[in-house]
Amino acid sequence: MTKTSWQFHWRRLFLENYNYALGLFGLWLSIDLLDYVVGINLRLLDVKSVCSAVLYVSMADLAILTKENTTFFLQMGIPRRRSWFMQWLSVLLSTFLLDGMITLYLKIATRGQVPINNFAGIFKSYRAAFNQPWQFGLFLFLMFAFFIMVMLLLGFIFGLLLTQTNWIVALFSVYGGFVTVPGLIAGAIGLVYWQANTTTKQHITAFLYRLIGRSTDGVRAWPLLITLSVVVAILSGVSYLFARRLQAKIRKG
Amino acid sequence: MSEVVVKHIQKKYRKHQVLQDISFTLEPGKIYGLLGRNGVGKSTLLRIINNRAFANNGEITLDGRSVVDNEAAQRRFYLMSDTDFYPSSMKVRQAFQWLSKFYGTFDWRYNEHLVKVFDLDVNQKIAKLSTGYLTIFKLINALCLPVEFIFLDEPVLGLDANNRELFYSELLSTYEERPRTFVIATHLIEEVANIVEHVLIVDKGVIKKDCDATVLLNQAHVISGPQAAVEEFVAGYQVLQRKHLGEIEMAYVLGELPRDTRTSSVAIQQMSLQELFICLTGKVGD
Repeated sequence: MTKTSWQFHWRRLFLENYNYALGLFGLWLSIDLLDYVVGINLRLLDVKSVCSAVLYVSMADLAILTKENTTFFLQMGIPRRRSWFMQWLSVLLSTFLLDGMITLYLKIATRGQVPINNFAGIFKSYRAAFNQPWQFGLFLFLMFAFFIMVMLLLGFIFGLLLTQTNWIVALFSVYGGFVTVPGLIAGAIGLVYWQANTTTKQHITAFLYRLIGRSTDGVRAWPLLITLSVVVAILSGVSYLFARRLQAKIRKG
Repeated sequence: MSEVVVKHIQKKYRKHQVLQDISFTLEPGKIYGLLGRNGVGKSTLLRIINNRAFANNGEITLDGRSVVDNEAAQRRFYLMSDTDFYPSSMKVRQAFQWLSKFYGTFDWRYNEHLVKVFDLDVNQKIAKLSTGYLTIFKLINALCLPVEFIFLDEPVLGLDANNRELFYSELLSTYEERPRTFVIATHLIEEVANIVEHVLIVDKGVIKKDCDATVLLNQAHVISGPQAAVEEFVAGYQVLQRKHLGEIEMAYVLGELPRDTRTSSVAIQQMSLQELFICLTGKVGD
């Protein structure tokens, strides 16, 4: 069952989510190419809007898939621990894949030719606050991870709606990602920091300062990561309470 | 052979204590009827055994090991309930294939037979199935999987009379061919009365009766006749309920009757399982 559960989970993510996002990018690239060849403006959305649209649709789909997989695994007798582990590992993979797809799309769209850093959208003002392009790229990546985490949380919560689960297990499952994902990222940054030279260490320190809205050279940015963390925590907490209330209404006996 | 041992299970939903203290053992190769009135916690109990809900107290073991989040144990169970746990976009055929992969094997030949006799469209999406066909789909899963303990929570929900008869007949035929443990939680007591071998009656959060169905029914009788004669006859027996119809009294009793009752002036009938259930769990319209 172990192998099958992994197979089922990733297969659904690939077939129904990543392929879906890839298909949408493909569609918009085709329109882009047709527009380039024919010379008439067929495009309804610019490259940045396409990226945003695909991202939002993909996130919503991910929430539905997470909910369905959570309940399906319970029917199949898969232990909650493994289900939880699989769901949260997909946060990382989904972030990498979507980030990669968007970067690729931005690079090959005929009128685009823009690096990922230019796909800033509402985060445009933050770009100036970071010294190095990679810092802003990493910042965007973290934003991706947070957004995807929000959708996974919702999916997991609604999955648990059907299970009348123990509240400790549910709480652990719902908030597990807040420990795992930041833990992994902090571990990776810590490893780089430990081995880096003095200049790089200064850059990393400056980057980390900016993540929490502080700057060594007087530039101040809104501490977006912290704000988002709080928003996600509140959102999932409210959803969890909502879930608990609904559970009590499920037919018993 | 393995047994599922349920020990002192308690379950509380907020302030409502659904299961007070439930203990029983499920033996291999038996058909159990799990009976109880609405809201007594039959579904909750099945959900706890199948790792979908957690007990506040107590323990459920298979081969001496807890079944909670225990994959080795859970893959020997299958719970069919009214809650839909299958992905909406999945087709019936795909679901059969995934079940086969998850559980290692699947009785494809029997599956083919059941799909044909129930006339189930395997190319239909699960989400598009009607209530009756959704039930049929889940029943087919339950009967074709290689599990040792099959829990059926309201297994004939939405099925017409013909399909219900077909299901009971298929259940008995597959049970005869490959004995395994079935636990059927249902309110349609008359329909399962001839199928169940062992009865578990849940009332007020505890197991009120846990015994062989034949033994139980052999001890359950309706004694009717003139009030005085009935009173004299039932003296010393456990009277579950009395009904009066003018001068005639009907007493529902539990206990071994004398071997020779030819000389008595009362009529004696064996109680049906449904009558016994009503007597044990409260009055009609309670």
